[in-house]
Amino acid sequence: MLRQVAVIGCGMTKFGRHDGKTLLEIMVEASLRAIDDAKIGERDVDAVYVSTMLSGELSNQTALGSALVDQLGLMPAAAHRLENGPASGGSAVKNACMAVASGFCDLVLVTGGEKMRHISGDRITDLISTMVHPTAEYVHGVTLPALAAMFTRLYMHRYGLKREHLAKVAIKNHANALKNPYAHIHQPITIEGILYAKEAEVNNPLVADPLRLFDCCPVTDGAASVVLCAAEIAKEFCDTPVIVAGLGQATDTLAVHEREDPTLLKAVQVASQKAFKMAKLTPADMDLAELHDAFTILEIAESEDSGFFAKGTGHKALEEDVTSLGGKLPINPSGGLKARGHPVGATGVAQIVELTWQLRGEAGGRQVQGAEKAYCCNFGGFGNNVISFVLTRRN
Amino acid sequence: MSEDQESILRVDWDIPRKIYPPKVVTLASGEKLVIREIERGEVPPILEAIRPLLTVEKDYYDIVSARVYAELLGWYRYRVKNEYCLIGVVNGELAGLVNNRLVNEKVCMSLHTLALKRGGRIGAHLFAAKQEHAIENYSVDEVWVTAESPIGFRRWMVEWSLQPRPDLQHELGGVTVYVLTKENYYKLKPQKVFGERPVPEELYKESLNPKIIIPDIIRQQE
Amino acid sequence: MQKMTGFKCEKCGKMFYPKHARCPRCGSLELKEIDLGNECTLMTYTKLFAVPEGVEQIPLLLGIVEFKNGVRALGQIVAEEVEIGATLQPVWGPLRKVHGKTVSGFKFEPVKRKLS
Ligand SMILES: CC(C)(COP(=O)(O)OP(=O)(O)OC[C@H]1O[C@@H](n2cnc3c(N)ncnc32)[C@H](O)[C@@H]1OP(=O)(O)O)[C@@H](O)C(=O)NCCC(=O)NCCS
Ligand SMILES: [Zn+2]
Repeated sequence: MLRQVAVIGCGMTKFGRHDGKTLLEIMVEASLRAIDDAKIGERDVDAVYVSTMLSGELSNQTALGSALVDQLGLMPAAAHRLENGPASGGSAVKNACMAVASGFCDLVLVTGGEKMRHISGDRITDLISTMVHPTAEYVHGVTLPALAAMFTRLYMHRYGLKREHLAKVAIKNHANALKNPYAHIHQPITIEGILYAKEAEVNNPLVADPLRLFDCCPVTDGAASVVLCAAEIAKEFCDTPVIVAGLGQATDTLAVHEREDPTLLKAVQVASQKAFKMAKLTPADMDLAELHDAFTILEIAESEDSGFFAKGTGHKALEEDVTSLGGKLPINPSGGLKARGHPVGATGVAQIVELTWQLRGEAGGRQVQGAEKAYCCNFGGFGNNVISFVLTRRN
Repeated sequence: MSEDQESILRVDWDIPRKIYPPKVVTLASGEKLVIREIERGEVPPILEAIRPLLTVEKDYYDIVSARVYAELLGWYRYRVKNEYCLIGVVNGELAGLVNNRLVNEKVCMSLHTLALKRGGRIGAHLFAAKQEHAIENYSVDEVWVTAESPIGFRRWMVEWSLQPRPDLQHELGGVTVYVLTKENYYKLKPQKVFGERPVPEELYKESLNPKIIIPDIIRQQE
Repeated sequence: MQKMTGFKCEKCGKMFYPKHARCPRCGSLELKEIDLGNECTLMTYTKLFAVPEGVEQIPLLLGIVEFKNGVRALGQIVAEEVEIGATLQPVWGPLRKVHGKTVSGFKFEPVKRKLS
């Protein structure tokens, strides 16, 4: 990058339900927390990037960049709304980084948010599905859980993955979320209750065979926000800036069936390789990772295609607790999408917030001790648009 | 009111009453849900548990809780006949309740399902239990079901593949009845109705005077 | 009977489905329609219980199939149960409602082999 970019402030709303508040209101709440955290005082913000996927359809509001700037009194800052499916948040952060790196802006605000719990399940499922291929997937009744389920079946068939492995991702991430006050789901789950007991059939019903309720992220309201600036001026605002050491983005075919090997997440591979290359670091250097576990299988697959484990061995690392809090590479200490929740447009920003808290040592009960380098991956569509980041602590 | 009517109502059951044998269900969390039937005398504290929900508009909690309140109060004060109520208790706390009313020896009217703890599929276990009671213990031929919210509709109508019966009206709301037949019940039972009997004594004792909690839906709104 | 069509690049020979404006391999605009054939093999599938608005069938069986020429497609499967590797054939029929209107397309059904 031309100029280094630093994260100097972050904030989130609680993820969960925000009945009675508008999308704009929760975005304002997260933004104010980030601005406050960044201690930018009266300094002018040069640009604002807002990410949301379905604000028009669900909240009857578009052009949220303009609305947020107006609420926060940041005029005449440039303002944008970015929509890139579930990768909207990562896209917004990436574009904000480019604005700062290029020298075009010094100080920018990125806020992602979604309000999606106020409508019925079949309707939100349909709206989310509008991101898949319109004629080759959508018209057939395909949903994101359905694509994930077909992917899972192939994975199990090919790599000997068991239902226990999927369950273990959920149990781990639910346990992590109990230590995250911002998480949507604060519910401990056990292998007995979601898999082995006869009652598991009711406790953990099928969503898209073989995926069950606890293999899926919930539908969540929430917003997350970060303030970025040129690293050279970061010390003016805080003692512990976090540096965006690397980022990468890549795309893949829109229709999942067109991929030569449908179990391979090529866009994850390319995006992560680019991010590590820019950071001049390797997967082995990372102290923790936040992966886009919209479905339990994705945490395993992304842990492989991001370069942490060889293809087909992610579940082994999981078995050995490598990815648990306290393991060698904790994955999703925040609870991930599985349990922190997945307000679609907020997720990519929330990942940066979690990495920043971890690298500053402010992650409370879920703190990865001594974390200095961290990775995240925001996964759009079903793997057709992926953005990865490597963040480091500057001492 | 004529003597006659009063004497009909005063007999709170005119069908031989059967008591639901309590059972214990393992939840996703590994916690145990004890499901047992309550007696008329236990109604007042249950009403206290419901009262905070009367003003919660979200997901029709207000309508559902107002109706359950009236139905239970009606049973308590001899204004409703042949009504039974099962409660679910987790860790000694009241987690949810369901009620039904027998129309006659052949037909049961499904009334309400109210989960005070959300997200644990407690409602699904309780709903199954009240239909289990109607069909297995009272041996009715059918249970008439309706739903007051889209969530309820999806949960019960779809998950239990209930059949619409446009010629019948439900007691609630005057809408079409959806029927759970004995045959359908037994077909779905292996995937829907779970629980162990007898309930270990310690757990059963815990369920006798359950603690009244602030319902999740209210905590979430604060 | 309607046939399911795929596409072939006249320049590099790549075959694919669905249509792209340019050849996914070489970028050529010279594409022609090809017949995908009457038999395909099931590669993976799911039974979808949480269906979207516009789909009435629960569960909805969905799968990815591969034709003899290697081209793949995704679609509904008209059967109660299936297994990976099953032989299927495309059939035309209604798929779902979009904004209240029924949309039709190809689905896949098991090939019934004649007893020999
Ligand atoms: C899995 C799914 C079908 C479950 O839906 P549902 O059974 O209708 O559940 P509801 O949304 O009604 O939630 C009811 C309660 O169950 C719990 N819950 C819901 N989904 C859950 C999940 N996936 N994991 C754990 N708990 C969950 C919540 O506690 C919720 O209570 P709350 O409202 O107090 O938070 C739905 O969450 C879903 O479609 N998820 C996938 C979303 C998606 O595809 N996102 C985009 C991916 S890129
Ligand atoms: Zn070509």
